[in-house]
Amino acid sequence: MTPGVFVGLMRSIGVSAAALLGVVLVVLIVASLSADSRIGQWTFANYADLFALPDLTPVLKRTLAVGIGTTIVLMGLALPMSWILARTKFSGRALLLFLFAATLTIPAFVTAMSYVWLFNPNSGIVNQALERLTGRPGLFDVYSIAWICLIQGLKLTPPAVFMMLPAFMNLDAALEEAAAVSGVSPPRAFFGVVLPVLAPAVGATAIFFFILAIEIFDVVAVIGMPADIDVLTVLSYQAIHTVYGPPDYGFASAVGMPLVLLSGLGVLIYLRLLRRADRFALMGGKTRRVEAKDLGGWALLAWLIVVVWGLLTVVIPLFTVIWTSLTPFLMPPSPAALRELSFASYAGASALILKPLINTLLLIAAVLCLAIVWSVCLSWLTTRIGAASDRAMDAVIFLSMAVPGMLLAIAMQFLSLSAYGWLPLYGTIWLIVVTMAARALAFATRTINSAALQIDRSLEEAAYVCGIGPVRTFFGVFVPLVRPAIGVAALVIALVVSRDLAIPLVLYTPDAPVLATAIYDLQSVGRYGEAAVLSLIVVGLLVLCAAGARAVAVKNRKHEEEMT
Amino acid sequence: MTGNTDNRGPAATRRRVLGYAGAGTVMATLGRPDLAFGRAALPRTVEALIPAAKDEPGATMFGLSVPADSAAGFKAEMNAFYGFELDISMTGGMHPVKAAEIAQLQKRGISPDIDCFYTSIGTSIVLRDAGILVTEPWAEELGVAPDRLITPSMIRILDSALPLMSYNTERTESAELPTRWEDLLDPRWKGRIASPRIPVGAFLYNTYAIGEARMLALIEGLMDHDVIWVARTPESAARLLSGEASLALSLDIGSQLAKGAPLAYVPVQPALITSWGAHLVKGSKSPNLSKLFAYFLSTDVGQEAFGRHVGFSTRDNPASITAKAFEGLGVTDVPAAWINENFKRLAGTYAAAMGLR
Repeated sequence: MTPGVFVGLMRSIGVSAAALLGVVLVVLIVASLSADSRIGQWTFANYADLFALPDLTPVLKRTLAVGIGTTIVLMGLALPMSWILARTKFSGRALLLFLFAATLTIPAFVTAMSYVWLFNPNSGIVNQALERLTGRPGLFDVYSIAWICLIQGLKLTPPAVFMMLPAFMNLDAALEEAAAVSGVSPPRAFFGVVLPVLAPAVGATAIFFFILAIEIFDVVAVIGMPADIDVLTVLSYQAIHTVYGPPDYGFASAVGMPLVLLSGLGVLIYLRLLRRADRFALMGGKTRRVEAKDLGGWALLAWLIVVVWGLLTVVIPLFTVIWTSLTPFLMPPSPAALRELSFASYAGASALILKPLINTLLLIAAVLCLAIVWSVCLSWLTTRIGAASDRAMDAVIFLSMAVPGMLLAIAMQFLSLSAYGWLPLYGTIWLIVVTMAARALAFATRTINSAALQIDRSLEEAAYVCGIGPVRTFFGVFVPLVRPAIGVAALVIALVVSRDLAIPLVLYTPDAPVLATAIYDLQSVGRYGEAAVLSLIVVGLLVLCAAGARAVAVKNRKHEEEMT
Repeated sequence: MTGNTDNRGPAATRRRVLGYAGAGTVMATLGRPDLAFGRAALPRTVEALIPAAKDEPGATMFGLSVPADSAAGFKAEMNAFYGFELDISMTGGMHPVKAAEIAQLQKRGISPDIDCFYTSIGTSIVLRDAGILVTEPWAEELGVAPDRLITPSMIRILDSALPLMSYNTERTESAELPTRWEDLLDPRWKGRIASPRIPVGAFLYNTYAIGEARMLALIEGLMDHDVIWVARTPESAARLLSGEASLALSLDIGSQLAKGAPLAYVPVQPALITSWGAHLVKGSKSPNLSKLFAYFLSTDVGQEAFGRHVGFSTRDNPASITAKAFEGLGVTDVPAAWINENFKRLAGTYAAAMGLR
């Protein structure tokens, strides 16, 4: 195959993804300019309504505050954790990876609800304990922007680490060794050497999670809504979840436009970083492999970070889920409640698991196949060819992450209805697969891009010079070098797909329930205990899968080292 | 709203199925054609649906989110009732969103993926306006008892506690409870009321009793009363059970009561409730299956099965969880005619007062 044909093939794959998301964006823009969600009846009324909102300015300020605050928390945790995992002989590495997998399987609203139980001003368990000690009621009030940022930041740390990890792993060891030889301490080397060199990957991650932080709804729904902390996603949610009239897709789309604009700003910054990417290439033909270093006395600090984060992000919510699974009805922990505990919910839930589990596993497999093929092709085009059309496709993918999951699902449903005559995806599980894969692209391409950016093109050029064709070079050089990034992207996508509710809730069919919808159904009818048991089973299974994947990765790495 | 309350388990279901089968066999032997195939006695209008229903593709009933085991238990009893296996699925979700989706399908000439839609009288107005419902008097023609009909094309299938107020009996003394809706504005309840942020729950329906001006004043007062607004109704239960909230609005506590939760309805008078009805969707590929499903829910046997497996029923059977939950309250229905007349206007007014579009 000639290089031209190969690029054409890759572009046709990339275009299918970018076109799909591009059409979704166009549909939303058109909807925002349409009256009563009727395409063709042009109006600015939705924008007029949006700008006429008396509290629009506070809403925008709060939205920005949530985005910036969450990004600060998660980057503050993700940067040291990425460095610890990629560059040191930290002995708690396996534990940290286990905690990451567990975090991704626990729904964010469960984590938020746990914090409400602990820190609500009326009956929070911690508040009550402190009141007994100090005599002052309601010392903590969970209903604030700061708590939203903290909880979202804690929850988003693992995917941020996974996104940056490949870049950290590809960093040339010589740079840090030079710092160490010069007597620079590990933290100073981190801030003075590692961080500046990894600027594109770190910057892209920060931008990505800033957008994600202002788009996600789970934590805001549990903590923001009760306290009237309205942000843009709350307005969008209310426009879709009407209770006395048809959903107002036009206004919901108009509300989504500031998010798209913010994403657009992020894309511009990201593209600027990409233009300077060559300066940051770290893995070339002469680059030295990573050599893990001893943390020495700093190990204690690393353990402290891991333990505190694990306690706040995994132990507290997991305890809540386990507790809920043992109680006959929702009750906060107390000595009296201990007498009520039983395993009754476990018997009921075990009968419900099989079909949703099989469907979920099939869904994960299909989404992974599609998302990884799409994202590897797109990343290769963006980082290796870099034509204007490739960057435009990358920009569309990046922009698409500003569209809330439920709005994306509704847009996809609209598209599938429009195309029903020649592509009958509507009402099938394949529509969920395509939507979830498209949803995963922004994360997957960012993760793979950040690794690909640090691989010097000289490696592939050397292959071409040796007469190796583009297909063999792609599969023999590019794919193996970005394999760690593909692995972490796949892991995160699998974990997120297993529990994502927004998309299946709009698109699922009763004949093909998945775990997330089964849990939702149980919660909807007040069977909290069995819903908790299903959640625990999901956590257990996915953590096992993650452990298995890691074991395989370790085995492969050992094998490669032996071969080398 | 409520949940599975099946306390008898699969053994009871098996006994019931065997019972119907046995009765059917005996009746068939005795030569009673309407009781052949091991099914219950059916009006001829209903029986006439069965041959066509057997040839129809599967039908989907949209309304409540029903877990798989609850749906299976309910369907087993319905199959036994009719003497053959009805190919139906039960699913739930966002009702207005689904209504808009069905309207789109119908506009494009595609058969809807929903065959029977069961929802509140208020949401029925949205469905009716979207033009997706069968308006012919199919339910009346089937011979459904008049007291089980909301309209000739809408079968009453459950009584909802959406208009009621609930409390945690372990955390609030009954002597302290509000006796009027305006009592909610008492400072003692500030920051201690949980409610979904919707205009069409307790606020709208209780307007029937206290009038629009008083209700509007109450809503405006509550907007400055630190109400714990939640996104979904089940979250209200969590806030009430944890003690964070002392009162919850628009919450059905039946399923939690069945599990022994310390909850009760606040006996504010008049204690109003509202009904849900089953509709047929235009263009359904399985209209006969849908009619059989809806008819089953109009019978005592169907109500008992629905209550036991899905957790909902009308209050007609005194032994049902719904009836027990309403015991002593003296509940009365908000008239359907009043809802039809006022729903959209009040929903708009109250939504504006609550800062919603």
